[in-house]
Amino acid sequence: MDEMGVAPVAAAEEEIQTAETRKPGKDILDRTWDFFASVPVATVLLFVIAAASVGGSLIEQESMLSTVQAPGDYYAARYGPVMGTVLFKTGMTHMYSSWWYLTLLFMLGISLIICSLERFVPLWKAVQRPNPAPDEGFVRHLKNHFSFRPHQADAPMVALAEALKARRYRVVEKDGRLYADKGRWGRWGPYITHIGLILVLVGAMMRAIPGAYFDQFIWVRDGEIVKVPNTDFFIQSEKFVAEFYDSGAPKLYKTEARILDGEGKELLRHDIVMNEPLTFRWVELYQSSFKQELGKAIVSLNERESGKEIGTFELDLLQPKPMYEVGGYKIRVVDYFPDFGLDSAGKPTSKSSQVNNPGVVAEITTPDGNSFTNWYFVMYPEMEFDPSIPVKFKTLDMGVVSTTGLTVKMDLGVPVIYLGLLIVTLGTFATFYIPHRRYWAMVEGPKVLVGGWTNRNQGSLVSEMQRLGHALDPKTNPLADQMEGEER
Amino acid sequence: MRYPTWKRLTSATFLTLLAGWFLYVLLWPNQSTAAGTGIPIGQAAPDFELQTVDGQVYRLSDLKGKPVMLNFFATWCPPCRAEMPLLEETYKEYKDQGFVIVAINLNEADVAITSFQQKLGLTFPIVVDKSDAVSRAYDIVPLPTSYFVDKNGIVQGLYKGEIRKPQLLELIKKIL
Repeated sequence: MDEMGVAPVAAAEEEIQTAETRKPGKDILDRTWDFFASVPVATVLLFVIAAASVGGSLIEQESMLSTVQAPGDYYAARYGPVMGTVLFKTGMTHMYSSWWYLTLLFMLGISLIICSLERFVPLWKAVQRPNPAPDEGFVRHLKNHFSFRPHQADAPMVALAEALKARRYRVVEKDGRLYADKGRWGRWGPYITHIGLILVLVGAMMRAIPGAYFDQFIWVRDGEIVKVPNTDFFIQSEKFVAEFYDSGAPKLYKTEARILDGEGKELLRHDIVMNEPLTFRWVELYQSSFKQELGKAIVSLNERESGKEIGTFELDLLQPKPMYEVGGYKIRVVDYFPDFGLDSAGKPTSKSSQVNNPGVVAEITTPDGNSFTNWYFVMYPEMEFDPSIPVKFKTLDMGVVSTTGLTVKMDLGVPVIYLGLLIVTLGTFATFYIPHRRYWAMVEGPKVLVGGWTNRNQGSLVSEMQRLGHALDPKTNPLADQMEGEER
Repeated sequence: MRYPTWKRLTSATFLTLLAGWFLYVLLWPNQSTAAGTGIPIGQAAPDFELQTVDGQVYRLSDLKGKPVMLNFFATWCPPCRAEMPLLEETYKEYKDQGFVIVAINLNEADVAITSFQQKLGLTFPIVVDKSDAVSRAYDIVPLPTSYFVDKNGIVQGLYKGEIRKPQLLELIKKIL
């Protein structure tokens, strides 16, 4: 946050005007500025946010709960009535979306912006609009110098200006003085980094904006078309595939998926695999679960006495058809219990909608018009309520239908955070690898005195100055390695 | 001597933003994200378009102007079954005043729904929530759950679990 690496002498020249210069009669706007421009305030904010985030990682967050209890009751039971209520009411249990946590982030954002502006604006003036002819004492007191005898006494700066331009310096001449600099971006590095950090904060806070973030879960059965929640498109799972190694360890979970619009037109086809989500219009669909349940049964209808097969049909266990026809026999599905059981009154009921023990009440009409009603249990065909009727069902085969579980996620903050991190990297690169070098030159008697300044990497400035001096006037400036054999 | 205008403007902007943020927090307090809270009373009931087993389409927005009770149920859930006769009786009683019950089944087999409807002699429409989208939009956790939506499409009541006659009549009065 502060202007690292500026030499004290240069700081005096680029006089940074701070808010610390107290003036009487500040109003609320001035005071607000002072508050957010203060580095201690920024530091305290950072520490509080860090401490709260540690708390948020330690306290079980509501989004992680898997309990049927209301969250308030759950925390009271888990952390004790007082502590639990305090944690729940203060929002410690849904920290990252609680108003005070977001307020702290917001304040940190303001602090970053104002701290940056406070230092950026004066620095901008000093760097972008430098004074080519500062006080002579300032040039003399710079840390690094060299001097040379100009070839043309009437235009002493020409050779120096050309040499500097060849090194990509920006050269300004005024009143017989010369100023040159390069690498201004190096000075903006910290501010670029701050902009990146602010973007990261904005990205994190976008979770609180309705519509910018959601995280849901859907089940999609093989072949089924399901609307993707919070969007206007649909997903169809053509097939879910689970493959395993011989050891039993999972090898692959894959959903062969299609994205459809409201009219059923295919917009995208993509296989969803672990860590390879389907992305469509900023929405990501991740493979996160699956289940396999009985989906169909191949059933044969047989004559009870002879055991002769009358015919077979495929019974859909998820959605039985009202009527099946087999070899002239009509089988009407009167009632269906996917998870057969008996209720407290002893009446048949389904315990859930899962196909665990499918039971069918069927009315069978023979070709000559007689009809009988009987139960048929797909998994236990021998269990019948009326073994006197002349036909009998047999289960030949059962088929499994897979249902894939997909996490549907949209977080518009993520691209913002990535952009922010990229900008942080660029800013850091500029800060550390682009030195801002500046030269001031003035005529001093028969010679030209050149003073140099840099905010980074003094060594390379020194050697650049030696080479410059040598090129302009080899007599006055012999190369150091020729003199001593080695640079310091 | 005040600070330069750009500093004062920046301060003013951030102060306004902070004030706006606090107002937002105060006026929309405690938007609990926990599951099973349901749609708050006074909010608009999310629109839906669902079909009965016979393919008849029901859209909530088409029922504007009528008091509507939405009953989320499953045929395998005993309390759902237990409250059905009361719903049927009440439906017949208030039908003339425009009162509509739409029972929303949580994606079961057609046969199971039809047989349930016939056995209990239900005359109000039963639609099927095939993708669970509607029960998710209405944040349904326990079954049965009933919503009471007034003529303007606003949620005026919510009841979780098996409803009894006094509660049912009281909630219907709110939307008639």
